[in-house]
Amino acid sequence: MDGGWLLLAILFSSLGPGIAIFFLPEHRQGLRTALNLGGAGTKLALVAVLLDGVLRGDEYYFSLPLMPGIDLVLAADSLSLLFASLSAVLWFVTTIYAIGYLEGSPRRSRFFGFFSLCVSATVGIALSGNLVTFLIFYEILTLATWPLVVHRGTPAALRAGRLYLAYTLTSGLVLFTAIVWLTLLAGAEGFTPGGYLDGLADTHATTLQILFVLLMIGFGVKAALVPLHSWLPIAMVAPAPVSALLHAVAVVKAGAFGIIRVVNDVYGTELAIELGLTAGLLVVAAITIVYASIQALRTDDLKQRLAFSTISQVSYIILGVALAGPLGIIGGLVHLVHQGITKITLFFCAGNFAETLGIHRISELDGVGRRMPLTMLAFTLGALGMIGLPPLAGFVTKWHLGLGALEAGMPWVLGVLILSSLLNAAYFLPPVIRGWLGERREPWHEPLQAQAGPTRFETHWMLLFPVVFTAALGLLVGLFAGLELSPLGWVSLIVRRDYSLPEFGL
Amino acid sequence: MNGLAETLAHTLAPGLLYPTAGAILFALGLYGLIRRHHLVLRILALNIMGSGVFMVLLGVAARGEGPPDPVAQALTLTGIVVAVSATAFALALVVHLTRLTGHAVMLPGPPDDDVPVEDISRETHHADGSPADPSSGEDRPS
Amino acid sequence: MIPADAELLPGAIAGLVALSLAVAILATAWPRQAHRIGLLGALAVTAWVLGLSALFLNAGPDPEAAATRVALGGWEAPLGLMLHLDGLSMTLLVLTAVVGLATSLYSLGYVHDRIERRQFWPLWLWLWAGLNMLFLSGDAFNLYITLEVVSLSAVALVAFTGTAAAVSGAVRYLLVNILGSLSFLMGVVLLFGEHGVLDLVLLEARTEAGPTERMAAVLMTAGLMLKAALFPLHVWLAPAHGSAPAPVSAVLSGLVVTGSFYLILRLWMGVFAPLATPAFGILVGMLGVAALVWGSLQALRAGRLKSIVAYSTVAQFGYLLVAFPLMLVDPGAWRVVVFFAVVHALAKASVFLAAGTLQHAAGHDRLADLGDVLRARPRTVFALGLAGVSLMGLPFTGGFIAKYLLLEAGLGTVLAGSVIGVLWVLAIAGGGLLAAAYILRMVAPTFHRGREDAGETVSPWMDWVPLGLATIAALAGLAGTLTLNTLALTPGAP
Repeated sequence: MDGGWLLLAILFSSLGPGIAIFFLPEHRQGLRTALNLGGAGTKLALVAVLLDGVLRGDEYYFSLPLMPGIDLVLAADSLSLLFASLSAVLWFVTTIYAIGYLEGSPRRSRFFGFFSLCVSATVGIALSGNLVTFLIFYEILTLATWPLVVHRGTPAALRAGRLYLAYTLTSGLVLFTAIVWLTLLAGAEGFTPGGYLDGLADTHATTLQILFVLLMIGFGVKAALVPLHSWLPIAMVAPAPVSALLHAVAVVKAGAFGIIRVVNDVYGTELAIELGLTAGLLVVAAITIVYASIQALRTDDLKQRLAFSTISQVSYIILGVALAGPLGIIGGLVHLVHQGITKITLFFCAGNFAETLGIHRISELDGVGRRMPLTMLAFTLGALGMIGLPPLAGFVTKWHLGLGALEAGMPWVLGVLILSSLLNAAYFLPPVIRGWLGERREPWHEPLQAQAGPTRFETHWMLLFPVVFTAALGLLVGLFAGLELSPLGWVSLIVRRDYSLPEFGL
Repeated sequence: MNGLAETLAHTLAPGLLYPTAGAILFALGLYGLIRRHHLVLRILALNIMGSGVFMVLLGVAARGEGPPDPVAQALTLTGIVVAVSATAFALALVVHLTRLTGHAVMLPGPPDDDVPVEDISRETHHADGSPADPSSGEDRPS
Repeated sequence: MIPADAELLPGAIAGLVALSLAVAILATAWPRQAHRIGLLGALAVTAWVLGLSALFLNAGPDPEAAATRVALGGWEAPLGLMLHLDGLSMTLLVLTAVVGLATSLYSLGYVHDRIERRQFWPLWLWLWAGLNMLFLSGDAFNLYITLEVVSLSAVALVAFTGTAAAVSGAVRYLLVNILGSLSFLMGVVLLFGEHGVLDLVLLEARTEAGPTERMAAVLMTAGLMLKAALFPLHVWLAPAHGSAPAPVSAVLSGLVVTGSFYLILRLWMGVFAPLATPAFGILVGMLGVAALVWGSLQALRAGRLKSIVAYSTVAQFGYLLVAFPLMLVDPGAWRVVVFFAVVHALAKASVFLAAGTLQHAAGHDRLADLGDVLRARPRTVFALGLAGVSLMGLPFTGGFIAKYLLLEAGLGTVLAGSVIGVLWVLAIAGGGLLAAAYILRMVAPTFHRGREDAGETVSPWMDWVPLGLATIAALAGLAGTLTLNTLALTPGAP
């Protein structure tokens, strides 16, 4: 139970306010905002304390017996902290953004209640110490995001919600079955760097292979692996902060994080390679990267293009993990953070365009750079980061993935990376070019100003600040990737500390 | 001939006659319960089944040597009391149903979407001393 | 401490029976004050049951020490009546107390008419007393009597609104119940004729797999399956549960049906245990799969909120049948089955109470026209959803833990080499998806765009009790280990 209270406090810092918000009357806007920001701020502070503690080598562990032999375990290792701090930071920003985005719209208590629930589930996923605990928070996340996806209540939103649930609940059941099966075979072990299934490798090799496929189906839906990805582009009908949450902070990330956990801490890379599992995963990830990029090219809807880009980019994480070498894993893990920061910037920007000027399509972006320079600048930074232009975040990822591919002796992966970068450029440059160089002939519609009056900046400050903040963050993590506390530094630390892989240098 | 007489005599012994007859009554009652629609007949059928059970019980008590088992007699008596009260209750319900619908048969099937739903928790229900929905019945126990 | 607790137990058991009967009798004798007596009685009985469970758990961990048999009036079996308390009955007593208290509080708001109060409370208190006695009876004939007490008061509760639909539903319910009871009684008589005893423990020691036992098993099981609405003897359930007043539906679907199932389980774990063969297990399991599919499909088609919930009971009880073959492979799985039934009862009762609140507010429960009220009453919908999540078997609810353990048992049979086990696993896992689909039907209109109309005002009891009970159903996940440990205090059970 050492330090377990801190883990619980992190969990409840969003759960508590979330439940309180459910019971708030709609008009108590001030109190709701205070609860939201208070919760987000508290969580940020607590995660910082935890980070400090883990760096000093403290152990944090909480367990609660659930069933005979099976405990609910929360634990903080460096991998969970990576995800926890990412979601804490991005949640804080997204909360500000969501408050600004939803100003004046109905049913905000419901929205923010589920919003907080969603983040609690994400942090729970990050801090889960074993597969059963992971499953619990993973399914809570499914349930908590559904009301957000259907929040607008339009037929399109409800259809998206149905599809989302159909995909995630079905895959959740597959995952459920696989986890029960695995736990039956191997016991409710905690996540262990290097895996805990070695004892079964000789006797149950086929079973372990089947289980791996089932687990990948279970996580692959949320991680939007092709062919399990169809829900994601449709779910982009949700409000922009929800899309940001889905694509950058919570849902997609939870799937990818699950795959990382299974490969690294349940099977262990060595066993996964031995059973031929990583090779299959690698191929699926590569196909997903290329296929989704091509799909992104074909759509004119900005948010849909971003959604396809997410599918492609998240598979970088999986690609890195599937490369199963230290450099590849560094590339994959660091992309968990980089993709989050970059993609959330892009979705915030898309939301800003839609809210401020009513722009939803790329063909309408002409000249938007003059009307909203800061947002457009952020969008440009995000897009270039996604393409992988040095010194932005995406470059750091692709560099390590490329090195990882060479290290693993699979140069064809390099080809995939280059092809995907070209495709990235092909679908991200047009909106950027249109935004800066295009000409707008007629005056802008100004739905935001029409509704809320003139704004001091190019848009409401609560919409602008998050964009600027995350764009700057994306620049900083790329520029200062060499520092020890940068995501790259932290990830290298994880790989060095947790995975007893051979020494390596850059 | 001789064998048949012996079998007959053996069958007529109370230890077997009563249970056999009881089982036949039970089966007859079940048949009536399924085939008949008039509720009074159905209740009668249930009573016939009940009598069958009690006959088996009494026959079982008389089996073997010595005087009949007093426990079985006591059980039968208790059972009859329960059966009588259940029958009385059932008849009361049927009378009530007949008053409401004019027929001593059950309404068909599960309530579908068109059947008005009676909700006793609503105030309007008793606003004028009658149910909220006039079509759902007028005779209320009060 | 241990001897003191064990010494107190017999008195506490007899006291519980006396207390719940006294409350029922008082309310019957004094109908004008029935609701006050009922409320105080509900609190007192709940407190007593909780106290009893504390005594019981303290007297453990040896099952023989904790389980207690009380001879009423000092007359030992075979002549006298025995009360019997073990882990299984203790668990169901606590369940009954929790659901009973919630229903009582809810009824304070729901049954507000003076005349109806006088009718409702005595009947409901008799039902509760009957359930308590049912769980404490250790004697086959006494079980028949308590079953009848439960059935007759349940029928009266279905009928007491006095409308044609309600009375017709009650008559159907009554006929089914009497038929079930008679079939059960016939089985009891056969067992008595063969062995000359009625006490379950004595019977268990004497039974073997003979023809009389087989006949008795068929009759008693069929009768109880009819009462528990187990597939294919379920057709009466939806009309009766769907047309009863909300608190009554909650008790019927939550407790009464569970009571009949409890008896089936008790008989097959004890007296009939030698009769269970793998082929029989597969047959029962198939029935369970059919119940799951059929009940869910009906729930997906039904147009009324309460019908959906009623059909969902048929579907959810399919799990209990599916679990039967699992118990043959892993006898210890019975505790999982009971835990599932407990969690289901909590969740189902809260769903029915929530549905009652919505029906009250809207004046009807036609799903198609319910959107306005659903949108205006997020608290009730939240209760509905939370309990629904438990029915789906998703975390973090009791339903999840139950589903996990069931799935574990199912996979256990597969790993033990049973091919048909794959079907059980698929049914257990897939049933949750069907449940999700019909629960979504109830909740989704909340998220449609449209008018909001809170409808009729609702008393605070009706507003908050469903949410409270749903929260308990959700948190029951935390009580998984405790429940399983309590159930382990059942002597003779694996």
